[in-house]
Amino acid sequence: MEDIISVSGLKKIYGKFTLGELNFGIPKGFSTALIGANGAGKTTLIDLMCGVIHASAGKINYFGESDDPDSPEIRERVGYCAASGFFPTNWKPKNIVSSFEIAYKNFDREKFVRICDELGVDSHPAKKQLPMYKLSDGNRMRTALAAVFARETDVLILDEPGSSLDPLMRDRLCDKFREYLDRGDGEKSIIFSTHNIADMENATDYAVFMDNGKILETGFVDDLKEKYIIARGDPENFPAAKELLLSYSANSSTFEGLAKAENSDKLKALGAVTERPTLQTLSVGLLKYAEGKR
Amino acid sequence: MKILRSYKLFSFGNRRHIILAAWFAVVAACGFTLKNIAAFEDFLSGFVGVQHMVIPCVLSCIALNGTMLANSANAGFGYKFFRSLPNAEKHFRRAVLGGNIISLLGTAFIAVVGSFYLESTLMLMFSVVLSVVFLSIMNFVQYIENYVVKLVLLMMTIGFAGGIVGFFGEREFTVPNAVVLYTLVICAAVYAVSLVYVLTNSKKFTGKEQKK
Repeated sequence: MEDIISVSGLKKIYGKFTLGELNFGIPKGFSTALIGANGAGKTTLIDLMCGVIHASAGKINYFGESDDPDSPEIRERVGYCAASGFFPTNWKPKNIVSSFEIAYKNFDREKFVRICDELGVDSHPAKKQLPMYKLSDGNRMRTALAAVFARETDVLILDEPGSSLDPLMRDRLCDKFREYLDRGDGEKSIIFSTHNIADMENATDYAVFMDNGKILETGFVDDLKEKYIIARGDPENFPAAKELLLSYSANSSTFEGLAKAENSDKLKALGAVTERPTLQTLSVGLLKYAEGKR
Repeated sequence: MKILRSYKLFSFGNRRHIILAAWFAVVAACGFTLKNIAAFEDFLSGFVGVQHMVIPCVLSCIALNGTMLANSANAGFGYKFFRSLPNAEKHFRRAVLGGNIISLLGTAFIAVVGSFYLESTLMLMFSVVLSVVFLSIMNFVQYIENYVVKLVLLMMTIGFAGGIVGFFGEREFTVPNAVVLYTLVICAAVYAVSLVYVLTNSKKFTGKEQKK
């Protein structure tokens, strides 16, 4: 399978925090979620991919063509949106339109207005315009997303696009993701970081789990759901089951934990009930496992 | 044209230029009144004198060109957008150059307009020299990430310059033409170095020099 972005030997040193060394690829034509606890390095990785910061070592290859994050051709093909404060606070939507028209060859003004309407942006070029600092976090993010979607790109790299959105808007964002991928017919991809795993599950094909600057696990969501199981059981069986669980939580009435699917029969023999994890339960289980290993 | 477009990219949303244009108009009008009507002479001459000291500061802020926001990760807003643009570094370089050109045009404006109504050539020269000195400072501090440091530096310079102008103004000090000329030449040389510095170090804007 072709990678839209592949990372090799990537390292970024920030004082006490070190991202990497990372080696992984992100498949082309899918929506990839970067999942991890706060401080896992998701934003740093996104900033590196988008050329906002530069790596201490290693390289990022884009579209199998270029290793240069500063290449104007690459940047034209990448749609990037930061988590918060992406635009200067005194900017109004008309300033965003003008700046995108100056900076990018592939920005469509009409499309921007249309997407602003679809995403319910309160202040956009066809309405009364307010500066960013007067908008709520959700409205700011919707405006930024509308601007990014209004460009003709091959990959979207979005940092926490759903965090400041309400559940309805997150659902609409998932629809926009699907629409974008469908339009690309296997040629367009999305990479996004998220903490709202449950709400964004519908929009996630591939997941990259990160912890403390390292890659914990990667894979297609469906494959990962085959690879791991959630096991539940009575507390008297917990001491024996504990050895087979990667991470767990237990109380006086029950225990629940994440395990490798290959241990399913052993856990069943201990009276545990096993089930296929959701992306949410898988994420919590893996992150707990990583926390325990630190 | 490219310079103007890049300059605009970093200057959207601020009204600095409208304020400056209005300011220039008021100063020019006061100068005209002073020269031709001469009512409230003391007030007007004082006002115009002060303005000739303040305008260079405003012009130097224009040279800084919104990069307090665009360049500074400490400001927290906008810098990721600017850094992620195609040709970000080129845009930044052109924008800085555009800011400098606008500021130099402003300096030329106060020199030309001022020469019509300012009786003291020394005052006019100070105004021009101040402008060039401030522009140089702004170019040199362009890459300091902490915008508070930039502001403090600018304010200290304003205070220092104000003191010098006040000192010379009160004593009706006269300076030989050669000294004025040398001062201008030295300031122009320092300014040229600052411009070369800011343009050749534009990699600092994109964070490339953070590599370890």
